[in-house]
Amino acid sequence: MTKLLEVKDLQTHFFTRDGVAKAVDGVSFSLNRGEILGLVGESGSGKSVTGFSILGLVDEPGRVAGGQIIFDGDDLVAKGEPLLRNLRGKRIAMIFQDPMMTLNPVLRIDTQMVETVRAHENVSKAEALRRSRDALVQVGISSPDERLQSYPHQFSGGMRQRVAIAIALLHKPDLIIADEPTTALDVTIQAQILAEVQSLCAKSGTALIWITHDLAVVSGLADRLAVMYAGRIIEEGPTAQIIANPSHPYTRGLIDSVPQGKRHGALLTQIKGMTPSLLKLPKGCKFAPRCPRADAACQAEPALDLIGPDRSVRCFHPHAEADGKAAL
Amino acid sequence: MIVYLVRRLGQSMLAIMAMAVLVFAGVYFIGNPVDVLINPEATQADIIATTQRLGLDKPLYQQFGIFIWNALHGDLGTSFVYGRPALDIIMERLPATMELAVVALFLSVGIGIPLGVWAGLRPKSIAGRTIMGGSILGFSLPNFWQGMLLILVFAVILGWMPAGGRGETTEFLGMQVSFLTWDGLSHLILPAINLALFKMSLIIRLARANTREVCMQDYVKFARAKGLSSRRVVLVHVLKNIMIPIVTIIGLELGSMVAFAIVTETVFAWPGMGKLLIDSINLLDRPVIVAYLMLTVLIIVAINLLVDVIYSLLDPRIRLSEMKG
Amino acid sequence: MKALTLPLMAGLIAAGMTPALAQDLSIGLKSEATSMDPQFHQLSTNIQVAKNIFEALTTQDAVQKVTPGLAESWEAVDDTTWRFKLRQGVKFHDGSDFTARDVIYSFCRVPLVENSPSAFTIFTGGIADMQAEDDHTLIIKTKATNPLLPTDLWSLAVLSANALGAEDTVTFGTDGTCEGMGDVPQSHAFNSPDVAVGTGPYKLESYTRGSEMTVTRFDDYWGGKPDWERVVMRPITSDGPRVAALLAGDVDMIESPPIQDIKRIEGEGFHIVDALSNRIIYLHMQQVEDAPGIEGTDGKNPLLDPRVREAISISINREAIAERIMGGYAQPAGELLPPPMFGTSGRAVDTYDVDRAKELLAEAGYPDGFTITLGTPNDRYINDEQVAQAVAQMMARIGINTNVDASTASQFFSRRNALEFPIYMAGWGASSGDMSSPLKSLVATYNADTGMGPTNAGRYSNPDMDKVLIEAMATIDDSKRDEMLQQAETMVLDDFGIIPLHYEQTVWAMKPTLSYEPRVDQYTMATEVKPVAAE
Repeated sequence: MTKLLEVKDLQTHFFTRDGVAKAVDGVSFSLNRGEILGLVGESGSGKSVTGFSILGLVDEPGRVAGGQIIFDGDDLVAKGEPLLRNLRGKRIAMIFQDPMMTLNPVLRIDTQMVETVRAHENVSKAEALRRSRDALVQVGISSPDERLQSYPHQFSGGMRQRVAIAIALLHKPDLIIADEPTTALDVTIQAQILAEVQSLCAKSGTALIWITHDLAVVSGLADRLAVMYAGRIIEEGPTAQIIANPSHPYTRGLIDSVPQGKRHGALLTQIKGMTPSLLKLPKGCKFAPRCPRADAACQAEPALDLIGPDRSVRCFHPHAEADGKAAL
Repeated sequence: MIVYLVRRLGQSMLAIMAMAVLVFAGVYFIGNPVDVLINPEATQADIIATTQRLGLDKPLYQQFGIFIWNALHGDLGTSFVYGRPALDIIMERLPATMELAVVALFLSVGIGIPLGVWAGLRPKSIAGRTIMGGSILGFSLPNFWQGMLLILVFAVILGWMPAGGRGETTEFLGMQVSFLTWDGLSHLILPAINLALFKMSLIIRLARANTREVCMQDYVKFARAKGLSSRRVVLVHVLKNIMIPIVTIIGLELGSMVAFAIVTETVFAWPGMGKLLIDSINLLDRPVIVAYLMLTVLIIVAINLLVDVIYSLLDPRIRLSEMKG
Repeated sequence: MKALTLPLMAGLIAAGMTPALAQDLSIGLKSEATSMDPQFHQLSTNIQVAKNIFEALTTQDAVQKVTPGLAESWEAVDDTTWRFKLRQGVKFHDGSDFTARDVIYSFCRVPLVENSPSAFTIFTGGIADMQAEDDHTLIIKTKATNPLLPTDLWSLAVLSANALGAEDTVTFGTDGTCEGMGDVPQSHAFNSPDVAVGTGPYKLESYTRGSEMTVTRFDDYWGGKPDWERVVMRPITSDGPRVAALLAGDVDMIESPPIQDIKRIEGEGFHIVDALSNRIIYLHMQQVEDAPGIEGTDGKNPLLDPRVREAISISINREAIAERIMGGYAQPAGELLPPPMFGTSGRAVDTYDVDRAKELLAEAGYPDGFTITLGTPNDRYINDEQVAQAVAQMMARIGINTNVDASTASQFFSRRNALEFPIYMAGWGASSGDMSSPLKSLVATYNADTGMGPTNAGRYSNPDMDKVLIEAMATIDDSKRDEMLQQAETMVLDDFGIIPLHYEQTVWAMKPTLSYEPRVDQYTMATEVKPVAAE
């Protein structure tokens, strides 16, 4: 079975007055139909930009500067706009982080849903309205007719995100890219949304790229994880394996930093230092300045090495399985 | 909604009263109208008779009182210069100014918004930069000079349009208007452009700034992510959002256009209210000045009220919160 | 701009060559008429526009000499009685005949006109009685001797008693007590051609307030067929646009182009006509004990000394002002009206002599001069503020430090009449066309009861001159009156009671296919605009 999505050596650069920021610097991964990939990293790691790059929505002064994005056989980088516009919303849909700003505050919900339907299919307004109504029901919104007549600011955050998900599902896309969709929501709502998305994707066989900085959130959801740092993927593999035995010191650090709630008053573990500015990246391994295991060898660029049938890591001193895991 | 309207009306009444007091006092202190109007060979007896007839011999507060009393009966005073009710004289010229202001508004909005949005969508393009550069000229060059230049180029040198005056008028909705005939239009275009240029520049800059701001919003990105055509994204999503501040500005500007199209009217000899105001000030024709300014306040207040209503229609967040509060 | 001349010329030649609706004339006026009622407001624009439609018993020709109008001839039967023989065969625009009844009605209406800012009662107030001997003979009795009655009559338009709804017989009564007047229409009724019925060469077709006025040819005019089929008069008050309208071909002729533009207009092939006007620009000095605005004199008023006044007059280089500031469109003045108008003596202009001026000042006791304020309007007379500035500089050269206080006309008049200026510059146009006008208003002793000296804000007082003037004003005999007026004027000017500066010239610009007979009273009359004979 061909892969649904293959990203090869993607380069997305931002050309600013102060220099070139390589937000995405040689990212490669692939996705099967119906697979869920968790793209994890801190802010500035390039995860969101990767998501936007796939849909060709990178804002000035950035643009895709190299690499390939092969979706169902077509290279989106090479083919460009007319194809992309066709795919957007229909075969690849996106869900954003802040639902308030995702929906246009001065347009009604039905307007915003109907236009999505009619952008790709020549159906009557009544038909489009019917489909929108069904989509709302699908995501668990009660009294959908009333909701259709309302404006975004009349909804709570969780409700708005459901609407966004409903919109994403209108054309039953092959792939959904979700950029931190639950970060702005309450924890309880978060859990609900997660569960729903999972079930929807399972039901319809939709592939999903879930972009987040919160490992905890994605660990129960994703089939595979890819961890990004400073524009590169530094660890990749099946979720269970990575969570159980994180290999890259950064990944381990991320897992360790999650508060355990076990011992009252215990110090939180943290990763020293801060993510580097993309304009002033260190030579060699980008994580070296913060890494407890770094040494002279780390002055050189590590490559992404296969360390298991399905797993890779970019490090000269990865943790071995024997190092055990931290609790999660 | 009713309460809101009533409150606004009350405020407007106050504004009008305040205007009446200010103008009355102001003109009184500037000079004596009789000195300006009367034949210099008139005798003292004539001067005194005229002063009495115009009611200018009474103390100021009494004159004001008489004025208010008459105003409540719909009589805003009789012009010293024309000898007819001040309101009649102003209303005669109102259609001409209204026509000019409305056409100028259409021009400035109809050209300003598309240009501004274009400049906002492609700020670094040559077109975008030219538009912005041009807009600076639009509001820094003095209005009078722009008008004269328009006349020089289009009327004197090219001879395409007449150099001034109003064209043929026809009856429309009970008023005399000149935009329904070709002759009328040819007289209307240059002064309308002159009046519109300043507002157009303002709208261009505003539209551009707002467009840039709106384009950076997530909902625009989301709209594109849904696969909507660029045209729809701009015309529906972007446009509706930038209209809110623009409508507010347009409202303010329309009021001032109607009231103070003086320079344009003078340069193009357009028989409107603005010119009447200037002439009345020069001749100290107080009743006309007072009536004019009060009418102006009324117009501006009405327009602002209309703007607020439109505003609430455009932005659903405003409407509801007001009703709740 | 030079590069534009060629295409401009081409365009203009093209415009000029269009025969147009050959017999139409359009004129750009510099100010707006406030009403079509010729008895409403004594405003020069109202008057000149009305003169196309209405006529009076007498006419003033181009040099303001009184000539027969609707009255063929007249004589003074005695000091207060006049007999006027009215012209026969004159028709009004509506076809009815002109008779004495129309004259009586017209005079009776004047005091009944409401809300007039500057009423015509000034001319009718002195009439004691009017009787029609027959349809074409009128007897007028005046309250006091008024040698200027024929001149005054020029200002009184004759209206059609029929068109205005009078009864068959109209009887005169003073101060609005006439009988048989019917329902007198007020001024705004005159916007309709049905009411604005006159005997003049043109009929009113339409009047759009603020916009334009159109008159059409009256074929049965008693004076012969007028030249133009239609005349359109458009007020274009702003100077620049008025010139532009002429250059663009929108109008055939304009009044008063700004002096700075005249060369250019001529350069584009247009025709300039200019003439001396009856407007004198003068300096008046406050000659009372306590004059404000003077410093450096220990509280004394130096203007009380005729030597100081003479010094001021001869310190001014009138030639230079006429040449440089007025662009040649002014003539230095030696008296209050340009000769040979009635009552002028042909007095020479005061000679410019800076040294003698300084001598005089020293003699008068002000060797170091003093400081004074010169008041002037800045938007009333041609280049008024610039002239005042020049005068101030010239006075400074002889040691009188002068501050110019310029204000807009309405302000200026109020302040002047409130005696705020120790010395001021103003203008005077003699509407009667004779010397009694400036003498009576400007230098006769101010007397609120008798109405003398209303515009004498210098409060100059020369009782001897007053006597001569009053006598002259009651003398019917023209040559005697002329002599007396000359005498009175000489008395004032020898005393330097007032300082004449220059006479303004009036300028008209028009298409080269037109010619105009210019008038001293500055009026633009359509009847005087003639097509140039084809070569």
